[in-house]
Order: sequence, then C-alpha cells, then structure tokens
Amino acid sequence: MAAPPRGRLHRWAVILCALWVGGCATYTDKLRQSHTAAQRGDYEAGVRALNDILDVTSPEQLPDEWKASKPLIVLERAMLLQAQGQYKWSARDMSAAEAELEFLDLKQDTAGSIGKYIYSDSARTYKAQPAERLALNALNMLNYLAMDDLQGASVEARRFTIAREYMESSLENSKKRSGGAFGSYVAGFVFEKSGEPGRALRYYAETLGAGDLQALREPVLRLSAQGHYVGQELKAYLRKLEESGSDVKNTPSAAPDPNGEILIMLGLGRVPYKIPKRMAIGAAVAYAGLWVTGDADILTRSIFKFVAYPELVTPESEVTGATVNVNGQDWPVELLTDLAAEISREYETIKPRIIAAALTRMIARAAAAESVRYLAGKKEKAAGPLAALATEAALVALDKPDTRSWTFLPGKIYISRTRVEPGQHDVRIELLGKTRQTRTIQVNVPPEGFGVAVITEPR
Amino acid sequence: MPALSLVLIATLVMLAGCGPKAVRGGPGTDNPQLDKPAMSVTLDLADIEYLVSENTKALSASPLWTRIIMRAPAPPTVAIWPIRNATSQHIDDQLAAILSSVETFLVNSADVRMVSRENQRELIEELRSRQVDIYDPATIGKLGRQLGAQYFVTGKVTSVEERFRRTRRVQYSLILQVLEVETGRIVFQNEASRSKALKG
Repeated sequence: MAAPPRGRLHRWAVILCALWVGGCATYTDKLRQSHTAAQRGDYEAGVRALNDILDVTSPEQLPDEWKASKPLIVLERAMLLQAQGQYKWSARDMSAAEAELEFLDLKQDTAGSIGKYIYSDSARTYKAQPAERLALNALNMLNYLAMDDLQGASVEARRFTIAREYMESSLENSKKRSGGAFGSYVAGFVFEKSGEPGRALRYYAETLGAGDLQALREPVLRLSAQGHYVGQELKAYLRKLEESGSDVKNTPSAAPDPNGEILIMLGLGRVPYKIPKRMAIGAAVAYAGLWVTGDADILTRSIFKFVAYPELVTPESEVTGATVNVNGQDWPVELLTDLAAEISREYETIKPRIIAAALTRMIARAAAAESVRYLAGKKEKAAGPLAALATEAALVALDKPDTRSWTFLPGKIYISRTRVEPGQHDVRIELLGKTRQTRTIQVNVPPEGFGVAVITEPR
Repeated sequence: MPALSLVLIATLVMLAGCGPKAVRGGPGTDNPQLDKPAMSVTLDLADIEYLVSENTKALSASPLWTRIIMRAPAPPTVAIWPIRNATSQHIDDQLAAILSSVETFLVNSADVRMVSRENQRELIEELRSRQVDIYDPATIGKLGRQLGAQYFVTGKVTSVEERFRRTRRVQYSLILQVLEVETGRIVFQNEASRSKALKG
C-alpha cells in the first residue's frame, strides 16, 4: 500500500536530516586516526592509518590512482616517514605528490570552480597554498641532505626556485610573497656545498628577514672574506655587523678551512589545520521570529540556513623547542621560519573569499528550496514546506567544508649550525615540551665537508 | 537461479576485462607508435636517443676524432665519467641510460679502448663518501692518470624550466665533453637540446 504523499515526505525529511547530521567525512575527519597516533609519537601507526586511506599496504607503495586528496595524503605520509628517518621513501613520496599537485594545478577545473559557489566547498581540486608549496621542496632538500645526496638536494633547490618564481609572477599571489626563509636558507647551504658560493650568498640574503641568525652570520662572513660577490642587502648587513663591532673580530679567515660543519634542522610541532564549521545563521533569526509572530513557516524557511566553511585551529604542540649539544658543548638553536604563522596569515588573506563562496552556496540552496516549495505546493499545499526543508537539508549535507591542507607540516623550523673538526661527532638533541626526549646522533664530517641531522617531530 | 549465476559470471568476466592490460610496443610489434607520445616532462628513451645521437655524431665528425683519435698509432684509452645532473628533475636513471649509450658508441667505434666502468664504481662511491666534487676537472685529471686513461668523456644535463598559465615547459640540454687527462683541457664539447611541455 502506497504511503500518503505527506507521510512519504516526512519519511524523506527524516532520512535527509539523518544524512545531514551524519554529513560527509571531511579531509580532517579522515586523518583523525593518523593525527592521534602521531600526537603520541607513534609515527609508524600514523603511516599505517595513511596507508589505509591510500589503499596501499606499505609505505613503499604509491597509490594506483591519484584521485581526490591522495597527493595530499602522500605528502602527509612523507612527513611521518621523515620523522621516522626514512628519508628515501619520504623523498620519493614528496616528489611523486609534487608531480601530481603540479598536474592538478595545470588542469582546467571549471566544474570544480563553479561547484565551489553552488554546492560544495570541496568541489575544487586541491591547490597547495604558497607556504605549503615552498616548504615541500625545502623539506625534500632536507631528505636528500640527510641521505648525503648533494646532487638530489640541488635538484630540489632548483625546483624551489622555479616554484617561488612562478608564485611571485602569478597575479593572485603577487601581494603575499611567502616568507620562504626556510627554503632559501637550505638552498643557500646546498649551493654553497655544491661549489657555487655566489649563488649561495644570494639565497642567504633572502633569509635576512628571519633576523640576525648566527647560522647566517658565519657563512656570510666566511664567504665574503673569501672574496665572493656580496649583493647590496648582504653588504648592508655586513656594515651593520661591523658597526656593532661584535663579530667582526671573529670574521673567518679567507684561507681554506680544513674543518667541516654540522647543520641541524629541526621541524617541530604542527601547523594549524582546518576543521569544518557550520554556522546556523538562520536558526537564531527563525526562533526569534517564531516567538514574535507564532508563525511556524518562518522556521521552515530559516532552520537550514547554514554557512559551511573551514576554520583554522592550532593543534596543541607536544614538542615546542629543543636544545643542541655537540661534543659536550651547547650550541644555539635559532628559529628560522614560523610556518604556523605563515599558514595562518595565508588563511586570513583568503578567508573573505571562502566566506563569500559559503554565502553564495547558502543562497543557491535557498533558491533551490524555494523552487521545490513552489513545485511541490502546486500539487498539495502542505507538501511544499516539507519538500523545501528536505531539499535544503540535503544540499547542506552535500556542502562539505574544504578542510584540505598539509596538516603534518612542521609548525616551526629551527636551525643550529656549527663548524667542527673532521671526524665523528656526538650530537645530543633534547626535545622540549610536554614530552621531553633526548636523542643522540652520530654525525660524520669529512675534511672540508659537512654532516646534516634532520629532526622532524610533527606533533 | 541459473539465470542469476549466468549474470554473475558474465559480470565477473566483464570486470576481469576492465583490469590493467600489458602491451608490447615499438618497431616490429602491433603498437609501433607506443613510444612516440610524451608521458611527462622528464626525459624518455626517445629524448635520450636523440640527445646522445646528436652528440656522438658531432664527436665522430670532430677534429679530435678524425685527426687525433683515428690517426693515433694505437687506440687511445678512454674513461667515461658520470654525467652531472644540473636540471630541476630527478633523472638519475636517465643519466645512467645516457652514459650507457655513449659508452656503447665508444666501444663499438673500435677507435678507442675503454676503461671498464666496473673499476670506477667503487672509486666514485669512495669519493662521494668523502664529499669530493667528482665533477671537478682537477679531480677528474688525477683519477684519469690513476686509471691510465688519456681521455675522459663526461658531461652534464642542464634544464631551463618555465611555467606560464597552464603550460609548463622544460628545455633540456646534454653537453658532452672530452677532457685530455694530461693537460686537463676540454678538447671536445657539443650540446644538443630537447624540450618537453605539459599543457593544461
């Protein structure tokens, strides 16, 4: 026996409401298990959870298909692999994800661009934000340096330059040049060690914005003392140092130095990530209207007036700082880049556009609901409001806030650089924060060579 | 019930047919054009063949080859050294393929005697572990004498990468060099270029 039309509509309304309450899992929801594991320092379990999402059985495998947010998930895995010291697989993941992200970036996404304003915030293909894009090559430089592969690191340094030039030339990003001090510094180091001191100095000059770092002062003084060309910005910096008089007497000699050096890079904490927000802007107005007028129809027109958008939240950091000790002597640990702050700044810049798109979607939903109300009401007057309510609820459920971002990106990048005699060195790193931890790493430095230690704690 | 089973079997057969299928391609196969399309902006076999053949053609026509090597009383000993990657791409496998192709040309020319690359592998690893710049001409000269070579064949691959709107283009150049071990002079150099692009 067929249910009466009104009963059918009630049933549909209940189903759609249930669907709305459940909603679709956002990117952040999917990553919850991996985040929880990483937060307690169990990176292996974090990788396993990501492998499940990627539909692979080991970190050595890449997904067969790069659909949806898989390039981003592979980037997340790359960070956890780096945290585990699996630099080879981390580098492979970063390169593979980068190629896919570039491919997506070149792809025409007309449907997604329209969809973003009509039905869902997540309709567009993922485009990495400038800070994420530049950090990718910088972090991959670290993978290659940790593997003692200077040629691989210099490939990443060139890729970093290309990515940055493209970003700077693009109109959309011309006004918000990302700090990028992290990438510039590591590229400077890579080119210095590749026998290109002039190029290295140009990159070092770009990191002056990070402040007067000891890790910057020493190589700049040394390379300029060796007679390499120093640009205007660095000349001004050197003049300032001379005026302060503090370090000039310690200027490294122009003679070749048989010693080597150790570079320690620390990526600690996590950048802010996005959570889905649904702001019920219609409900308050509706209840007030109901109280004043007693007309329940107001409720049916306003109850599903939601604005769905992603909100940035800062995760609680387990690791907030570090101390470095080389051969029993403490060395300064300096903040090179606050990636968390860069990510927040970028989000604030694009937030008005996100909210505008969310409002447009709400209006589109209202228009669709009113059309259904009119069509259903033509057959049976009472069916109109219910059909409209059901339609709007279904469309709200479809509107998935775009919470995609590189969530395991380290919040802060610290640096410690010191010149040492050739040979084996004990590097002791104490991680500070809620869970204190000490790590001792053996770093081998050949004569006139270098050793790199990479510590990644994205939690 | 039998009808349902038949439908199920038919569905399974159809699904099996949808899986990945391996094909053979290249000259003399059913897919002679398989190697023609570019799959990415990295160097593929067609690019490598082109870059190497342009360079080896230039080498065999050069005064070094026609006036010195071919007229030498005995075939000179030549060592081949890794090609430097000065590009923005991770092309280690392609560099190995380039090196092998150049080596094949030199061996088959019968005009030179080649130093086995097996002898060099350990040497390169040892140098790399000491972070010695293996592309430094002074290092190459020293090693050349150690290996008893008169000439060293080496080179580098460079790239210029640009992006404009929905097009990304990478222009590759293979620069092949021959160094005289005794003097450290570059006695031959040639450059061949190839471009790859990805259009959105």
